[in-house]
Amino acid sequence: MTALTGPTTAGREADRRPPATTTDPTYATSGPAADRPTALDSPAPDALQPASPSSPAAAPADDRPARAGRARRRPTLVVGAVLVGLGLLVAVVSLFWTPYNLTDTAGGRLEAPSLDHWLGTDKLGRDTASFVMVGTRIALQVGLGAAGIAALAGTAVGLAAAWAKPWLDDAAASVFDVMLAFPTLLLAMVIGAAQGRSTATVIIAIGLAQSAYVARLSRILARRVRGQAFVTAAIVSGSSLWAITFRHLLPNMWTMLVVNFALSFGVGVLAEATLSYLGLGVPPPNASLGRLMKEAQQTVLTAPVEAIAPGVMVLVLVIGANYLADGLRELADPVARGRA
Amino acid sequence: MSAGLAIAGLTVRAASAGRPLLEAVDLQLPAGQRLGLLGESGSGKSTLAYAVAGLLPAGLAAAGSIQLDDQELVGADERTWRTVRGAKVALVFQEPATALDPLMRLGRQLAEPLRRHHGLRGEALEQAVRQALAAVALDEVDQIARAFPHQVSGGQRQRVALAMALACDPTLLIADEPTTALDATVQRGVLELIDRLARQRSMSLLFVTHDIAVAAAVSDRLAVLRSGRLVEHGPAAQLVARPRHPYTARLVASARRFQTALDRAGQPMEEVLR
Amino acid sequence: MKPSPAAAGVDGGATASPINDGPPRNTAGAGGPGGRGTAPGHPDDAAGPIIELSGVSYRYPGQKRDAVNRLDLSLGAGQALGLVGESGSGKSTSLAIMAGLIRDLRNGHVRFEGAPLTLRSPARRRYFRRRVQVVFQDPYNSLDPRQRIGAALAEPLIALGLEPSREGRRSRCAAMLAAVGLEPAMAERWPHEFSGGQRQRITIARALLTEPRALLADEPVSALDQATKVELVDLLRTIAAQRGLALVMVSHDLAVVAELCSHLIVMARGRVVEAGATGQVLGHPRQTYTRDLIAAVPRLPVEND
Repeated sequence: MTALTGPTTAGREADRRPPATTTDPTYATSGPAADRPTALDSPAPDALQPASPSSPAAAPADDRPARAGRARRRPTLVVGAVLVGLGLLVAVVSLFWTPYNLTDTAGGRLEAPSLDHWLGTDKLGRDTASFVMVGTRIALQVGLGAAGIAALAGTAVGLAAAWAKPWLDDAAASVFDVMLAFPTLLLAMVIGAAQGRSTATVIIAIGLAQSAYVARLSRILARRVRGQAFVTAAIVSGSSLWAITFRHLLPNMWTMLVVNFALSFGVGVLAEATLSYLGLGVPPPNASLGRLMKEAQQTVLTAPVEAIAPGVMVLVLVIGANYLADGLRELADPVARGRA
Repeated sequence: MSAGLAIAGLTVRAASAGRPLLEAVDLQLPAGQRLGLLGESGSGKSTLAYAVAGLLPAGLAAAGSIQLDDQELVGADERTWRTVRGAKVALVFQEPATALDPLMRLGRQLAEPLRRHHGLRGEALEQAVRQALAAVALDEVDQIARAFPHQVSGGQRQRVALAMALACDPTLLIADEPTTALDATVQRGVLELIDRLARQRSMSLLFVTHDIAVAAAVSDRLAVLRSGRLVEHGPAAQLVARPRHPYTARLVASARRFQTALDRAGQPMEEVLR
Repeated sequence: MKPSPAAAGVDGGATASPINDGPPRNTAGAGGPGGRGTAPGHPDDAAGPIIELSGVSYRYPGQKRDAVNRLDLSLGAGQALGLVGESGSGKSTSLAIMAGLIRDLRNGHVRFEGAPLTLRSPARRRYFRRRVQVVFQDPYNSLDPRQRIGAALAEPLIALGLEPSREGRRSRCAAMLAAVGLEPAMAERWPHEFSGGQRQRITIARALLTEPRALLADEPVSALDQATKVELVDLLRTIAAQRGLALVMVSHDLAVVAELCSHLIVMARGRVVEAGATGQVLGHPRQTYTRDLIAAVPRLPVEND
């Protein structure tokens, strides 16, 4: 996970080397005599200082009108949004319409793509495109559901750990580390095996396995915010821990949590495909991209599209999620934003 | 040969237009002289220091002229800068920790520029490191050389950073608020050290600070920046005694106010508590 | 309760209470603001000191040395006390103890308005937070970057249940912004739009909104330019005088403390080195450490021609 680039990246500013730009010297004498009060001064000169960790340059994101314009100039964000949006569109359409019914075996076996069957048919004569569409929907359900569970559970546990007494916090951190040592997949397999196979189990299994990552991240973020003077000021103001958590901690953490949500969505999609490929995922009759790939495996030489299509869809969703996360992070990063 | 530092019509502005950070600044710092550059945060004093060191962040464009020993630096390419930075111009920053690698022992960090610039190796290099540390008035030289940055105090770190800056015998030392983060007694020691080293090596000194008393302690002349413009400059004592610009007068008055408070407090008790 | 000799029998803080250089080794009673801007007595001045520390020691977890070692101190109503020393002297830790931010002391007691300080009961905790407020050093760090100024100011009013109505909060915040020399309309802005000095005014306004009896300030002007420092020190003095506030100022800058405080405690390595009236300590320092501190303050040059 690359999500740990904190909000205090102002120091980078000082590292950049100049592009040795020269303008006409005559130009130097012009310009208005701006003798302004110290208020609202441009922070730029201060940004030159090798910024301390608590540098003011880490200004918040609140100039909202300018945001849409910036988003357009961020290819990562746009590509990510387009890819994930494509998956979303396919999934939504599949709710109302698919070219064929999933149980419809009317087509010829292992047909090549045609106008009738855009992505061909499988060995039972079923329409691959319809399966991919429904499989995409399931993948999104699992990805979003798991990321949601991971976000809720992980953030709650991480916040609690950050407020806990030092020994309890240390203990929690160790538990997270142990959980992280287990591959998401293995954890999901164990939970799935214990609970029996259903879409809900898969979602919960992947979600819980992911929650350790979110818990670790949110604990670190929360502790960093908690160390700021404004949190102490809130304590002195008489605010309760609940109030401080919702009024100060979460608002200063959520951008990173959103980025992480996008990342864990991608991991969830991939985990679902893998589990299904191994025969441990969403059970039939639900379509699943992973199982589609597994089933197409034996006939991959005669009907390659049948295996490639679900693979491409997994790729679209996972790459889209990662690009989206990167793009969101750039958007949230004050240094990158100022540079747009 | 060396004419020192000559800045003429220096304007620095951000690429995204707006008000320039520095506007038509003219400033001379003859070789071996010491100049205190005063200003509040946002005045452009650090921008000026960084422009002279060729360390302006991307997105800031300099126009005008900066000449160091008759070499034009505005518009110089990175290769030229590499021959200037370190060799002719050296910097110390407010927070010495930023100049030091936290994972490298201080002795090794200091050895690097000595090796590069003087071609020293082995025993001679070790000797030079010890001398350099002793030159910045650090006792227990061997212990410091073995320590990591976090294992020594802020004042000691700043002295090591100073030793590194001086390792290549620069002709100009730029000090950007080098004592702001230090305790008063430590600040005093570092100021005395900078003052002494600048004199011994007849090095030019550009001392950037917001504290007029600190600036005056190590400078022959003072220059006052405000909102990117040079509002006044002159000999330190004269500028403090007879400030011409109202802003300078305000700076002097503020400093004098605290000094008076200290002096008045130092009077016998009955006078104070009348 | 061990009555502090410094606080005993002070009537309305009219003059400096007699400073005791006597038997209790580390005791420093902070006198009234003395000759400069005497405060009108707070209604319940007679109740004695606001905060008392007796024999307080504290050690940070994992440290080998006490950050504060057997500190005795008493802050009376309307008094202005300076805590000075170098970094690591324990002055900020002392302030955190006075503010109830550090509770697990190794030794000693903290008393608030005569009774042992306890924050367990919510009512008692709210009362203490209302009466004792803190201003922090770093103006860039003490305001939440994602909270508008108005929300930051309203926070203590909401948390302490001091002002139920939104309208009431708004008008009180606006009035307080005006009182610290800012525009009431600034409540709509974000912290990053302000300079360091303005932010520090905002944090002072936030602290004053609860109508505290004591304001504890941890290096409140250290991060500011000289000219801004003067303005803030003036503001603190005026406000303390107008509201009869007791003031504790932690600083490594002797000149700032000399300007604002009537009494000084000089600390080094967690212990009190010297304590007394500001004039006494600065005019006749008995310890080398204090003399070094005084000598270290940079001075303006004198023209010699």
